[in-house]
Amino acid sequence: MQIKCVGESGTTASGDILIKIEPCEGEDIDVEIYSTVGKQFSRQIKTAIINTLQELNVSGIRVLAKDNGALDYAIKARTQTAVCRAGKVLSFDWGVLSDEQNKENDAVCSR
Amino acid sequence: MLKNAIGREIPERIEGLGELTPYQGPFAIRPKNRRRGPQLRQVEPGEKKLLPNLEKALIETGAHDGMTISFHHHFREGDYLLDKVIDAAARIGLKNLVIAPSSLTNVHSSLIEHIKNGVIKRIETSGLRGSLGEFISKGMMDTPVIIRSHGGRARAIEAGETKIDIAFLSVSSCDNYGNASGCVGRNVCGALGYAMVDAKYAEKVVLVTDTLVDYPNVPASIDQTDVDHIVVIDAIGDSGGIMSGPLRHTSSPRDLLIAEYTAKVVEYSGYFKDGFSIQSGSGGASLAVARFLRDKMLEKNITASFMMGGISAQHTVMLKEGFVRKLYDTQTFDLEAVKSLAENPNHVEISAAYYANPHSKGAVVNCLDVGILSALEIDTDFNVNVITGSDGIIRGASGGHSDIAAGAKLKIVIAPLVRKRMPIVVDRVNTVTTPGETIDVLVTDWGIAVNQKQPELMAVLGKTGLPLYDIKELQEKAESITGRPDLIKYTDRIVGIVEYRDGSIIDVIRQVM
Repeated sequence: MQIKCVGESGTTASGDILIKIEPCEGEDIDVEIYSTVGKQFSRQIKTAIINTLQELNVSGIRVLAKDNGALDYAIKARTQTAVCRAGKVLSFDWGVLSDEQNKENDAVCSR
Repeated sequence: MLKNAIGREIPERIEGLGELTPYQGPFAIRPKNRRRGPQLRQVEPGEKKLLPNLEKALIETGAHDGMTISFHHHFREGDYLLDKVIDAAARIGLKNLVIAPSSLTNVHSSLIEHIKNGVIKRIETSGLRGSLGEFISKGMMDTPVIIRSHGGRARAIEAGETKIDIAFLSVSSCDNYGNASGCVGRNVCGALGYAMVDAKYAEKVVLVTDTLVDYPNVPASIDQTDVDHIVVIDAIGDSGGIMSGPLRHTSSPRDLLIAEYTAKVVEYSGYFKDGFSIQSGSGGASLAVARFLRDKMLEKNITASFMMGGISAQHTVMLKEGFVRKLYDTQTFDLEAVKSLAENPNHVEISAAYYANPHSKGAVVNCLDVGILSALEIDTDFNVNVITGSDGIIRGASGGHSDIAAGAKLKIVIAPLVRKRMPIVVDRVNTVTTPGETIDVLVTDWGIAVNQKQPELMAVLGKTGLPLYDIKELQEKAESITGRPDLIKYTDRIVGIVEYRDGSIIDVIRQVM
């Protein structure tokens, strides 16, 4: 997915994360994380963000994450939304999600 | 290093604190000493007690380098006095002071400057929060802080382990001979339960007030026979501050679910009958438990003999409505409750010693049926941490937690399974303040675990349809939601020791990296 502008999603409320994505030179993904649970979870937060970006085939961006104890599914959803906003995507192609994610979604829907 | 009875490594001695006794069990240590009171003094007729300012009071009471001064924390986040006294001590050049307040809150971060400049050498307290807690956790003091429970502090003072040279006690009103109250005055704080102990046992007692009233200011919580001097200042604190701190009123569905489960555990436990007694904490869910129990008491047409706490408006309404016959109050949590303490003879002020000192002829905690307790973390042995955060930094208070857990018949810890991605039920808590052998039940929003040491209770609750789990299952559930947290890295350096209520050491707090 092509990143065209700055995209933001989420809040800094308890249990949420604020993700800001902006385009930058090159093909790198640069992630900066500020988290209230950083000592115990910054590694896992970074993994969740990068996996989500890779699923959407996004690179050449800078990500700023302000986390207040969000769980992985919230991190994933906020990242997806920030990417779509930064890519000016108006309708999300659910097909780009990994099989694993689709299975998770199916499981949630059938509950 | 020695291992104590719960497997924590305790050094045999610490520079500046001396020999340490490892924790051996909740009632293993029997007291051998006598109560240690202050030197007798004769105040003669005509002598005046009023002094013009705090500096003068320090000089008049023989303040010297290295002495111990104490304070109370009844004003919580609204306290002005501690800062003013330490500033005054700094101005007259005092160094290496030991401060022994009943607790410290977020407003006391200015102490950091006085630790850096050598005015304060050592701290004994129940709690530490905010930037001061962080500063100490990062190893910025030479001598570790001592963390004590409210009962443990009363014990240490009565036993002469904490020898207070001067107690500076803010009181809402006072006459010129030292009769003082927390219920009358420009800035009220209600009960003076912690201060009452200091007033009895400190070598010198200085009362500080902003409301000087005509003699005699009775009924008095602290009386003239214990008071050396009185200083009048502009403002001792902000009454509004007693409401802040950890107190919350909740509409959170998660807190309400925990409260509902807890009320059911109490109801089915066998202790819920006419004349039962209960202490509930200051958290949102704890306060909600009392509301649920109120409905059940109506249903069963029973009343409680007494409640204690942290007394808040909710308790006083239950007293007025006749749901409970007496309230024991060591510390008052809001202005409604202050009003009740002043007006209602069944709302009774008690000292921290009366409330919880284990080495006495019987503290109130011994008479409690049910204790509802909070937790920052609880582990699969039911050990509870209420002092350090999940990141290892000191941000809590020992309070009456271990006192109630030791004394009450049914001890219930309530906590959400996950708090801001942090699993609350863990393999091993960062710091133990309350030993698991004194906890019976854990209630979370995902289910309830009963300590294996209580098979009868387990059998009773098993028949109720409540969601019962092994505590290990709850721990696994928590981790499946949050992911496994990376371990906190500590250095070997000890920044705090946690005393159990009997004076033995239940755990140490190490410097975070």
